[in-house]
Amino acid sequence: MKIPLLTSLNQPELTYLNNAVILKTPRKFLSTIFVLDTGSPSTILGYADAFRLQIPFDSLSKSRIIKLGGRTYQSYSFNRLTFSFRSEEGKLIEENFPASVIRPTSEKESQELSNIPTIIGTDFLKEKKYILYCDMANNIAYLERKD
Amino acid sequence: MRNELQLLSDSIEDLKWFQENSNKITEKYSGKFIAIKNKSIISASLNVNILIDNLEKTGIDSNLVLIKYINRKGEIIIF
Repeated sequence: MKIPLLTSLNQPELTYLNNAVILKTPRKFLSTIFVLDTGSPSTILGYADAFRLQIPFDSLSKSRIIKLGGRTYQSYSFNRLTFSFRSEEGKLIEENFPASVIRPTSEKESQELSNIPTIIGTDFLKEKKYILYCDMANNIAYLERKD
Repeated sequence: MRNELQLLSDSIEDLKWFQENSNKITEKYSGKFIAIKNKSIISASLNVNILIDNLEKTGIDSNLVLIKYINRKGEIIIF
């Protein structure tokens, strides 16, 4: 089973490993973009996505301190998140996985955090047993799991 | 709920369209948030909350469109 990743074709400033995903909570869902970041040990729900999903920050428990873009933020753990991907064969793949959510404390932080998309980190790959295949030179990248 | 797989497939096509046209889009929307639907940009704003408000005011469910920040020209975001 493979989940294709887009490698931004020939745009050098856009060479992130990314794709579209549907994020679901028990109450809401949305269509958004995720970035696969092997430099991140933690999966992070982007602030703009958390805002659109109306994540109830006040009911979440505090998690780790996260340094991002030169700033330090308190993160919160949100456990009721489902990622829906499209497989290479065009099927829906659903993965329940907890994400860290970062809560801004000022309008400036809110603006800065809004630029950062939802990030899938190495915790997701490890827990869900996905293998990352990446050949940037040939624009081929995907996540694969042997079922 | 709208068919989930169809929504996801449409979003993937919209993201591919964005990436194929990113040079032109960056020229016009540098530093802004854009909303993409059906391979076109339906709204843009410097502030993502204002963008979402504008979509909702025009009857568009903001959760069914892709929202993306457009880097300023020459800018790279490292997470």
